[in-house]
Amino acid sequence: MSHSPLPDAEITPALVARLLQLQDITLNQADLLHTTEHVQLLHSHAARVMRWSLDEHIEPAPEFRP
Amino acid sequence: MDATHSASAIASAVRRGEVSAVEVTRATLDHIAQYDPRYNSFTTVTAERALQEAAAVDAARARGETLPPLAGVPYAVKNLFDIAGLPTLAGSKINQQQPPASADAHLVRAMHQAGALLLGALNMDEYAYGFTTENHHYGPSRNPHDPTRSAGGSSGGSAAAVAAGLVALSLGSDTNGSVRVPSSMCGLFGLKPTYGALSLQGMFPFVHSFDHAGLFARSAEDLATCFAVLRGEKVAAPYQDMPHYRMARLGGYFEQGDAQAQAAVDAVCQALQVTQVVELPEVARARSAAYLITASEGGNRHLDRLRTQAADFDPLTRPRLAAGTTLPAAWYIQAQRLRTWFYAQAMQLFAHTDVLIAPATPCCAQPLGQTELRIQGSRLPLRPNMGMFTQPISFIGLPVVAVPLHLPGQLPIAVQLIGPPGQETRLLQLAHHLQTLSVCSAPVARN
Repeated sequence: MSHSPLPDAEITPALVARLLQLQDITLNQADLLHTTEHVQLLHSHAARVMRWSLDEHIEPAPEFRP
Repeated sequence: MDATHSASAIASAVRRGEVSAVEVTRATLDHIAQYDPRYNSFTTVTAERALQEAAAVDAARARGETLPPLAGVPYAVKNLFDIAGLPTLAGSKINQQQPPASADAHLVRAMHQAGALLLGALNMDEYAYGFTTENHHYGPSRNPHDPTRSAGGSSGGSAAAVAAGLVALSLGSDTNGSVRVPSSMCGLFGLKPTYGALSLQGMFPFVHSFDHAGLFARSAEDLATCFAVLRGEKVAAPYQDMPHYRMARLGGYFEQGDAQAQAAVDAVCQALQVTQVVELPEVARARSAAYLITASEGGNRHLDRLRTQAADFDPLTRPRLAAGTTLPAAWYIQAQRLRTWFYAQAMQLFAHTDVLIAPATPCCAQPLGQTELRIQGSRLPLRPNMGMFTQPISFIGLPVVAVPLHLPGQLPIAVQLIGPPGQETRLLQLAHHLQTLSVCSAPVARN
């Protein structure tokens, strides 16, 4: 899968089923449709995050302690 | 005397011998039996344990011992906290099959040592992934101000139980807003402390990067006492003087709420004489990053269960977690990178501001089952967007006290008082001040 977020029209239940298959997850058709909506939402958020200009000097914060 | 009274009033009465802890417990159990079928806030009532803890408090008093600060105070916890002898449900059906917890969570132990009485475990969105507590396994928690409406989530049972006066205090968790959203819906004081300020030991996790323990009360004083107990610190005397704080209202992104959300912030700012408006940059992008990290970490945490027990998940949770398993690592890392940057921007604001003020939710409690919000002419999905103002703040671990307002003829709604890391006391002082001014209040509701 590309790391580029996709527009909604390209995120189909068939694509999501293949992505889930890579994780060894199988859902019924109704759940697949709902999951597709959530994947579309995640791609819209990802588009916003990935458009942000990357500064290689800013380290990620997975162990964040303010 | 029962849990409709404040924790400080109950503890004082028990200390003075005006009422026994066992009497408080029996009255509280009666109220839970009578009223909770209406609100569905409890998933388990630990009557036997509460009576044993109460008897121990009464025995200590009879021996002439000095009682701890929450002696005789009824409380309950979101059902993701370990309670010795019970399975830790975390709102799920799957966890019913887990062995019972062998010991209490760290914060439950702290409450026990402070003399508080554990009345039970409280309802929540499955695995804390939601803002409405519309749980398909255990039923929805209902809002004591209007039982046709959501109590908020994911700590909806924790909020409903305190709002209905079934307990004086409750513990919850807040990953993206799960204390602050139900505080707003149910009209309560809620504290989400600095990330890492409270131990998560013995709590079922959701998103490691953002998980916080939090608490609910009907007064700022009770919130402060409970927080000190949970931190293992000495309980300070009630606040007297209000220091001068440099305060500002968050504008821009945080002005997207409905008229009531804006009016609530107006009222707090007017009472505190706040006129300055400041903006955090890139808030929408920060919220998106929080969304991606949540989906990614949440999906990964439940990956094995999604592979083997997908059918046993709540239908509202299953697709969200499944979607989260599909995210590329590059998105997650970029979101974490944005988090570092956004934290630095917030710290720049705090260089010349002590407290930031923002709405907690874009609107008040909405009817159960509703899926859309209409705000400022836009239609938005309701369930994810109830956290639109809380999510960017927990993204960078800042402490927040949610303060409740009851505007005439309207359901309650809360405002966030946001501070720099470690400054909970400042926020609790302000919350107390607003309560003293009668701008904020949290009356018991049993509609």
